[in-house]
Amino acid sequence: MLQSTMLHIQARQTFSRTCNFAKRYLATAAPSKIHVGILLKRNPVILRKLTEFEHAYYTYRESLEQAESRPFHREFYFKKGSTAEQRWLDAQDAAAAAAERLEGGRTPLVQPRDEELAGLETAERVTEADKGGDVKSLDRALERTLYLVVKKADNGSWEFPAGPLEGEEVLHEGATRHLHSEVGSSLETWVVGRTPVGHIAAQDKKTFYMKAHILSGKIEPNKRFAQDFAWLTKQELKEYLQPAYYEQVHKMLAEF
Amino acid sequence: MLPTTCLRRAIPIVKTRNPAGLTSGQYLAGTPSSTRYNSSTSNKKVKDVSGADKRYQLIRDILYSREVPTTQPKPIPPASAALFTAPVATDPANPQALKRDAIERAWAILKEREAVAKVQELRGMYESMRSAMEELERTDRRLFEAAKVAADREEVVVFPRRLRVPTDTPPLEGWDYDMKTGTR
Repeated sequence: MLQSTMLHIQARQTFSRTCNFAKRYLATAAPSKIHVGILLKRNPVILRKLTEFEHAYYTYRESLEQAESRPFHREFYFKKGSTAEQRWLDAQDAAAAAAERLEGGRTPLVQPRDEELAGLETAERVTEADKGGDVKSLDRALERTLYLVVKKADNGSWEFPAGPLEGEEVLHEGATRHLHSEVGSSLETWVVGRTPVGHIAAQDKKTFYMKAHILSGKIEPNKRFAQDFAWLTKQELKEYLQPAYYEQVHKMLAEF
Repeated sequence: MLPTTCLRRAIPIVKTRNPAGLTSGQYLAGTPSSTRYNSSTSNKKVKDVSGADKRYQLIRDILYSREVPTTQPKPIPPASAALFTAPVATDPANPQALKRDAIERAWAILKEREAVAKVQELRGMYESMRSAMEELERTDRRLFEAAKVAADREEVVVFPRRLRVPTDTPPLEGWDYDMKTGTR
């Protein structure tokens, strides 16, 4: 009697285990195809400009610091009659003419101007690409993060580059391979880790997006996949992407 | 001879105040640097001694300087307890405090908004990543296992050296379209 119950229990366990195994196997062999998408971003090249309030606040705090600080004893830091002392005094004289008085009749201390640094050539923060609104240029919007979007060849909609996985490759390997096939190989990229940053689940396919940075190079769209391309900020992407598509991808984009 | 010099060195050098009330440390605005600043060293009565003594004297002058900042010092306990009970100045008779508190409150509001926005952005990114991994687990176990960042793996995600840090101004040559740095 006991033996038959034991056998019955064992049979039930085996049956349920087989069912689970079949479920998992069937799940992996599901009809939905897996695509890998690439969120290629160009990081900001320059630091953000301070807002008027930020600039005013920092100036206010600096003036407080100057007013509340203990006096600067120049004979401790400069040898008497040295050229460094003279250079420092000249800088204070020059600043005294322009600066306002602090409380107590003191003027703020200034550093002598480093002639070598002042003579360095610097590039403009606002480039021609900014003025011309050239969305294909990587010199545009230097303060912002730019994302690559392509105009799909089949339906003409703007999307992030994406394509099916091939063979036994994994997501981050497929991302590099497909990116080079879609936008050319004359670019240096870095895919961040192995984990996808977002996904879109459609009826026929599921696309998992990998984040990548572009370090150098240019985009040469492959006509088979992409008619056109653009480098856009998150706010501009809202105009270009389909609303439903934007809703699903906007969380993985950086605000600034 | 010897005892007298020792005695002389042992006497602390008294800083003499000049008639203008300036000490050696104060820099008076508007005065051209060519004029001699009244300093205690010039009025010193004691004979010039070795360089080491001068430095000690200088440090002593600085440490025990009579000059103090002319703005209100910050209160020390228990007077600072008032800051916790009334953190914002309300007395209209003290316009400086009102101004200072208004500025600091505005700054705090700005920083709070920035922090909230940053947390929201990061939360959105995290949720997006999490739901992608959950979907991947349901869809394809092989890819899911490969996508996991497990503690038992040896490989560590490292940043490429050429990932540039933002600077005040962009590079002179602009964006490197020809991948020149890669060929160096």
